[in-house]
Amino acid sequence: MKLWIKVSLVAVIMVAAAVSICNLFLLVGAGRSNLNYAINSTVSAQKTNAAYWMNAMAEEIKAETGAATARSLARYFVAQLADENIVLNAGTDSIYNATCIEPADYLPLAEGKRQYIIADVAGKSMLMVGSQIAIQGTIYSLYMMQDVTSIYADITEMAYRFSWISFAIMFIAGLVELLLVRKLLKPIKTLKENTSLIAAGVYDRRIRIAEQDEIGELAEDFNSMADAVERRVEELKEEAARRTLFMSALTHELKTPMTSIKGNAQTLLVTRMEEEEREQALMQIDADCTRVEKLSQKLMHLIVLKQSGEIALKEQKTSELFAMVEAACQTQLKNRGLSLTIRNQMDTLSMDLDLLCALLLNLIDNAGKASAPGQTIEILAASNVISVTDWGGGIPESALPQLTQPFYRVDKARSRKQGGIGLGLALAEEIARLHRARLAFESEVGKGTTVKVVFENEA
Amino acid sequence: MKHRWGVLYFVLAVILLFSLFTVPQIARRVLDDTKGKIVTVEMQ
Repeated sequence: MKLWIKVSLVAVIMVAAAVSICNLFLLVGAGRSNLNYAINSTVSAQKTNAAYWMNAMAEEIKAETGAATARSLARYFVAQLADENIVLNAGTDSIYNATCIEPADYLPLAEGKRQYIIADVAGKSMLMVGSQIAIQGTIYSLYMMQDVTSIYADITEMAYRFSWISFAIMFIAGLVELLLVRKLLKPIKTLKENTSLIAAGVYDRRIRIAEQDEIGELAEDFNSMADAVERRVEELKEEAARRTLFMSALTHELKTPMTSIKGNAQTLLVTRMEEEEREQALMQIDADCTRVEKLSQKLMHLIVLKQSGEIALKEQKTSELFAMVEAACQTQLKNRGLSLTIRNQMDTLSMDLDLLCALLLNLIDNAGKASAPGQTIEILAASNVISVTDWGGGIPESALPQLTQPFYRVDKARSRKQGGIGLGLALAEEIARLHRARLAFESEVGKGTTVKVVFENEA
Repeated sequence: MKHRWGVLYFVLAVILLFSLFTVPQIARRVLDDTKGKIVTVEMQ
């Protein structure tokens, strides 16, 4: 069953129950009120008539008045009241009765009390009020009667009329509730449709709901969730694309030296060669093996770094770091005819000395490959940034975003010739990430490149 | 679960029938109870 039907049904049931109970109380209340009014007015009339009749009789009846005279006077004074609903009895004898009902049969009066009863007589509901009056030793009973059949009939008729009106109210209320609930729950239907679309892979759908109620908040949360899902899916797609690229690059990087090794080995096996040529082929195989070994080592390093969630950083002096870096790259730079300038304005840094040294050596190696003999590479450490600058060939702006991708090289032929395998900056980026830092590249073709390691938490 | 919510239709039908037929009868019966009883009122 749909939610809007459930809500509407429950609401209609509540309204129907409330209307029914109200009807019942209203009808009973109205009936009692009408009856009380009839009883009070009849009791009041009986009181007035009894007082008048008693006073008149008291004035005329003396001790010596005979019984027949007294009965005549009693009848006369009752007749004077000119009310056809009055009945007068003396003891068990009827003195005056214009009705065809004998009230004493239904209401045997108790002495000194005024009493009433409602009784069904000959298909009518009759209200009878009576009291006893003692005059000169004779007990008179004075009754007044009123037909209240119409009150009962009216209540019955009113009850059925009320019922049909209630039915109409319930029907209209039900219809209104139905429309209202459908309108209120419409945004939920939209939410459901959009959820289905997202489940089917359409991630760019969003919901526009103007209401600021709970459903509006739900829609906002849904949109936030859809944003997060879309973002995550995009990230996964990018990750998958990166992995595919990585695998194809890795395959290519392995295939090149393996092809060379296989070619040289087959040549050595099937061709008669001079000693010098054999030596050259063996040296080529050795160089290719070294390259594959270096590739596997760097890959292992990269994988280990990627798997490390966090490393223990230690507050250390940057002078130690730069001394270590200078010692490690001195020979390499000297062989290339390059010089290194270090300007250290930093005191200490939270770091893993070996890893940060490896990062800087990677950057210096890249700067060395880009520089011409005689040029200088500069390291500047200030504030929260360590930068490595060279004045070499520079990098095209379009290549800057891809520099940290594994196996990406700006100039593939030259890089390979210089022994590069395209993993240096990928490694550097991972090391920077573990130091809560990021790499930033500034470069201009023909003028040089600056690579900055920007530490986020350093002052 | 489906049957449980289906009970709502039954409840609604019962309340409607109660409202249409039982409420008038109850009202009439409550008033009919006032018949046949002798009630004493004060003499003043």
